[in-house]
Amino acid sequence: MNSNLQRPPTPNGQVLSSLWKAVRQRARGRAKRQAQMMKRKTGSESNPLAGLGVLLMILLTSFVHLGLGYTLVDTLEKAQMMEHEQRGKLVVPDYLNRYLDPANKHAGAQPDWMERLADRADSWRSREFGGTKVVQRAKVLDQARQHGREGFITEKEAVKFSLKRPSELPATMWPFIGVMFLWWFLMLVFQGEGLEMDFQRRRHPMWEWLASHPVRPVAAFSAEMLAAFMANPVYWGAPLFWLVVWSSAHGFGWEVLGGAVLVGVPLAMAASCLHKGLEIAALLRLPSRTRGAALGLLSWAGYCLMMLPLFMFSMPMIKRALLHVTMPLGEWLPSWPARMILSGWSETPVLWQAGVVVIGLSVLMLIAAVVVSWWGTQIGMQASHATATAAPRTLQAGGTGFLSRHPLYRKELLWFWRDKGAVVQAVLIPLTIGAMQAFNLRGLAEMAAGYWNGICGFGIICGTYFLLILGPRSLASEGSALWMTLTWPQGLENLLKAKAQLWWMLANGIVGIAFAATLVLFPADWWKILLVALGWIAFSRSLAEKSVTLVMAPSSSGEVERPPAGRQWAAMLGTLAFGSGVMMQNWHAAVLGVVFSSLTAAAMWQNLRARLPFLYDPWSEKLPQAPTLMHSMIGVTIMVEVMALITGIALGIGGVDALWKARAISYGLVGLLAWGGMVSFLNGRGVSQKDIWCWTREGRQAVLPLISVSSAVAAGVGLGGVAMLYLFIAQFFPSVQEQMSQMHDKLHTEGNWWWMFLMAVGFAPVAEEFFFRGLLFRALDREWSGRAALIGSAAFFAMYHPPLAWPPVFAVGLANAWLFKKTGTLGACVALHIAYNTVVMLAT
Amino acid sequence: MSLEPETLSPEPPLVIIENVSKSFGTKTALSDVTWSLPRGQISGLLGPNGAGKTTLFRLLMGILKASSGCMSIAGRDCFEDRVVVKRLVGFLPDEPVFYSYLSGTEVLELSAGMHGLEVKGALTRLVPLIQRLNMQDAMNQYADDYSRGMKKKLGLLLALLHQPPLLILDEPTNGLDVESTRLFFDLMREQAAAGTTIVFSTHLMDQVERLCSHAAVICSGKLVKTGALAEICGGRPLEEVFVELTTLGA
Repeated sequence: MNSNLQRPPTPNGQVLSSLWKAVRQRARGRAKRQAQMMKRKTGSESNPLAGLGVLLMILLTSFVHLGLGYTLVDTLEKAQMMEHEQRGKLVVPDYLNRYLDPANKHAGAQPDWMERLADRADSWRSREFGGTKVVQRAKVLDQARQHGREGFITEKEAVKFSLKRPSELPATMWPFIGVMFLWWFLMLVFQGEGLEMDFQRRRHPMWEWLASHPVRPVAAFSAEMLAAFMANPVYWGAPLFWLVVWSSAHGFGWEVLGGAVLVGVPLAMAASCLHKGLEIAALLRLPSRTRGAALGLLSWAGYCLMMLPLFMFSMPMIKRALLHVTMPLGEWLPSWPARMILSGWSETPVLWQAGVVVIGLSVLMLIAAVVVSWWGTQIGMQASHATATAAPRTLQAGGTGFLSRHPLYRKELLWFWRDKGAVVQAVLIPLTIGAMQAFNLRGLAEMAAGYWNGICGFGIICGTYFLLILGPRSLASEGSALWMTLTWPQGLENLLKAKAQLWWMLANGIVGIAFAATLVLFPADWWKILLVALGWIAFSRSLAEKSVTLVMAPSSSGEVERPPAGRQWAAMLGTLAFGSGVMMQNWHAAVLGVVFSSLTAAAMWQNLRARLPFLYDPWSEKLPQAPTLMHSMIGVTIMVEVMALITGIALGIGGVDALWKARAISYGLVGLLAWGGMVSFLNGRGVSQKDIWCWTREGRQAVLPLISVSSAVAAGVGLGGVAMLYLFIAQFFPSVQEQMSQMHDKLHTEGNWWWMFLMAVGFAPVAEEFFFRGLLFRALDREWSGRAALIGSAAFFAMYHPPLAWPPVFAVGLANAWLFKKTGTLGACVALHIAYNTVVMLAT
Repeated sequence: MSLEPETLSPEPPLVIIENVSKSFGTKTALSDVTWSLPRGQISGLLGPNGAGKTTLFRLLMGILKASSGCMSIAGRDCFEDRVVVKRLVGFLPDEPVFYSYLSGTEVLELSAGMHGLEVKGALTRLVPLIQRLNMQDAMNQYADDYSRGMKKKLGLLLALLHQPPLLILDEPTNGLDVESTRLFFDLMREQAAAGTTIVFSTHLMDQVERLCSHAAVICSGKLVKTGALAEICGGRPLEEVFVELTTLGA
C-alpha cells in the first residue's frame, strides 16, 4: 500500500495517448453504430461505403478549407470591381474592350455600339453583379447614354491589386479579408467532435471518472480539450486554408507549405480547445432548458459555416452580399490586423512575420479557451447553478378548457415556450435543411418568383421538407423522460398525435409567411391564394400525421434510426401532385394530392397503431390485421397503373381506334389478375373471400339478399338519373359541352360503345366494389369510422374517374359504402354499380 | 417487520405469471418464469445485475410482449389489455427522469390528465402525501432541477397518482436518505394495508427482510425461488440464502 502511495502519477504522455485513443474509438464507434443501424434496416451484410467514411470526410473537409481560401482570394477581385461600381463606373468583361475603343471600326466606331455592348455584357454582368439580364442590359444602355465610353471600365483595368502588394489594397477590402479569417476560425471552433444534435445532454460523465485516477489534471484536461481535434477530420485539413491564402500573398513554395502546416495545426488545436471550453461552460453553467439550445446553436453555426463556402462556388450572390456588408466597414475599421495575418508587418509580404502573428494568435486563443473552461468549471463544479428554479405558472391546467382536455398539447406548448432547445430542434435545423433543399431547387425558385402560384408552390415544397424532417425525430425531444409516456394508457399514440399537431401548426406558420408575401405581391389573386392556403391546411395536416408515423425508437445513445425507405416514400405520396398541381395551376392534380395524402395518412396511422406496441420490442412485432388501408390502396394503385400501361401498349400497337377495345380488355384482364393476386395475398394472411364480400362487423344484421339487391338496383337507376340531370346542367358550360361532344363522337365510332359498355357494366362494378368497398372502405372504417370513412372512401373512388364525373361518382361511392355497411354484402353494391353504369351508358 | 403469511388474502392473486419466457433475437432474457403476487402483500424481487428484473417489470407493464406463456394483472392480459393494465399499475423506475421544462406540479397534472383523471381533484388528493414527503416547497420548481432523492419522491407520487391496485417499483430506495427510506417503508406498509399489491426489486437484503411478506429470487432469467419470505429463508439469513441460490442458479 505504501509503495502504491509513493508511485508517481501516471505519465502525462500515457494519459494523453490513452484518452485520445478513447476519443478516436468513440468517433469510430459512432460511425460503426450508424453502419450497424443501416445494416439492421437494409439487411445488407456490408456497407461498401463504410470503409471510405473517414477518407470521404477528409476529402470533403479539405474541400471546405480550400474553398474558403479560394473564396478569400477570388472575392478580392470582385471587391475591386464592386468598388468601381460604387464609384459610378460599370465593369465589363475584357473581350468587350473593342466597344470602348472609338477607333475600332467593327465595334466601337459603329453607331449602335451602345446596344451591342449592352447585348453582350448583360449575361456576364448578371452573373457577376446579380439582377436579371434585362435589368443589366438596361443599366449598361443607360450608362452608355449618360456617360458614354467613360462610364465603363474593363475587368482587367478594374482588378489592379493583388495580395502580393498588400500596401496598395484599398481600405474597403480589408474588412472582407478579416471576416474570411474569422469565418474560417469560427467554423473550426463550432465543429467539435461532429454534428451534435443531442438536446437532452447531461453533464459529461468522463470528468468524474477521470478525476478518480492518479493522473495529473493538466494531462486529463489537455486530452479533453483536444478531443475534438483528435476526433473530427475537419481540423486536420486546416493547413490547406493557409496554403491557399499565403500562396496568393507570398507565392507558392515549400516554405509556404511548411509555414501553412506550422500555423494551421496550432490554430486548429486552439479552435478545438475553444470549442471544448465553450461546451464545458454551456454544460456546467447553464440550466438544462438552455444547455441543449446553446450546444445545438454551436453545432448549427458550425454546420452552416462549413456548408456555406461550398455553396459560394455556384452562388456568387453570397460573396456579393458579404462584400456589400463588409466594404463600408473599411472606413472605420483598422486594416492592420488582417494585413498582419496575411503578410506580416512590413510593407512587402514577409512569410515568417505572418507566421509569428498567427502562432501568437493561436497562443491567445488557447489562453482564451483555458479561461472560458476555467470560468465554466469554477461555478459549475460547485453546482451553484443547480439550485432549483421556480417554473412560471403558464398555460394553467384545470377546469374544462382545451388544455385540460388535451394535457399533451399543453406539455408540447410548454416545451416550445420554456425549452430554448425546442426552437433549435423544431425550427432552426429543419429550416436550415429546408433552405439547403431550396438552394438545390433555386432554378425552380427563380422561375416561380414571378407568379403567385409559383411562390405558393415553392412555400409548399419548403413546408413539406420541414414536416418530413421533423416527423421521424418526434420522440427525440422526449429524451429519457419517455418512460412516463409508457406508463399512460395509449400514451405513446396520443403523444405522437400531439407532436403531429405541433409540427402542423409550425409548418402552417412557416408556409403562412409565403402565402402572406404572395398576398402582398399579388393582391388581385387573393381568393385563389386563399383557396390554396385552405388546401395546404388540409394537405399539411395529413403530411404532419404521415411524418410522425416515420418515428423510430430513440436508441440509448440518443441517435434516431433512419426509417425504412418504403415508409419514407409512402409518406411522400400525394406531395408531388399537390405541390406541382399548385405550381402548374393544375387544380385537378392538387385536389388529387390532398385526397391521396389524407388517405395515405390514415393508412400509415393504421399501420403505426399496429406497430406502436412493439416500438421497444421489434422482436415480437406482428403484421397488422389484413386487409389494411395500405393493402387496399396498393391494390387499387397497381390495378389502375397496370391497366394504364397495358392500354398504352395496346394503343401503341393498335392506334387510337383501338383505345376502347384495349381499355375494356385490359380492364377485364388486369381486374381479374389484381383480384386474384389480392385474394391469394389475403389468403396467406388468413382472410377468406367471405371476410371481404360480407360486412362482418358486430352489430350489423344483413337484410334478405333479394331485398337488398333489388333496392340497390333501384338506387342505382335513381343515381343514374341524377347523374344524367347533372350532365344535362353541366353541358350549359361551353368547355364541358365541348368535352362531352368529343366523348360522344369517340364513343359512337367503330363499335367503341360496346367495348365501353362491357367495361362499365361487365368488369368495373365487380373489380371496383371489391377494391373500393370490400377492402378500402372496410379498412378506412376501422380507422376513421362513421361519416368520415364514407366521405374519404367516396372521394378516393371519385379520384380515379375523370374530373367531370367526380360529383356523381362521389355520390355512388357514398351510397355503396353506406349500402355495404347496412346490407352486409358487397353483392348489393355491385348491383347498384351495374344499374348506375347501365343507365349512364344507355343515356350516352 | 414483515407481514405474516397468516394475513394472506383468500382472493386469487392479483398478478399471475405462468411459464413466461422472453427472448430478444437469440438472447433469452427470461425463461419459464412462474410467479403469483398475492393481493395486498409486498413482494421483493431479488436478483443480480442482468438477471432479468427489468425485463419482467417491462413485461408486466405491457411494454414488451412475452415470447411464450401468459401473464395477467387482475385477470387482464398484460400485453393484449395493456391500455387497461396501465390504469392498474403504478410504476417507479430506478432513475426517474422528468421533462426539463415542467415543474413537479405540472408533471403530476400531465400524468393525471393522461390517466383521464380530474386534474384538480387528483392533485388535491395527493396534498397530504406531498406534505409527508416534504415536497410542498419544491412542487413549483422544475422537476429536472431536483436532487436524486426528490426525483424518486416525485416518481412515487406519480406512481400513486391514479390509485392503482398494483405498484411496481424498481430499486425504490436508491438515492433516498435514511429518513426518506423510513418514510417510504411506512408508506408502503400503509398502501399494502389499504389493499395495494406491491412488488419491488432491490439488491438490499435487509430491506426485503424488513418490508416484504413474499419474495422471488431471479438469476440468469430464471426464477430460482418464490414464496413467502419465511419459507424461502427457513430460519436462515436472507443474504445467505440469496448467495446460495444465485451461485447455484448461475
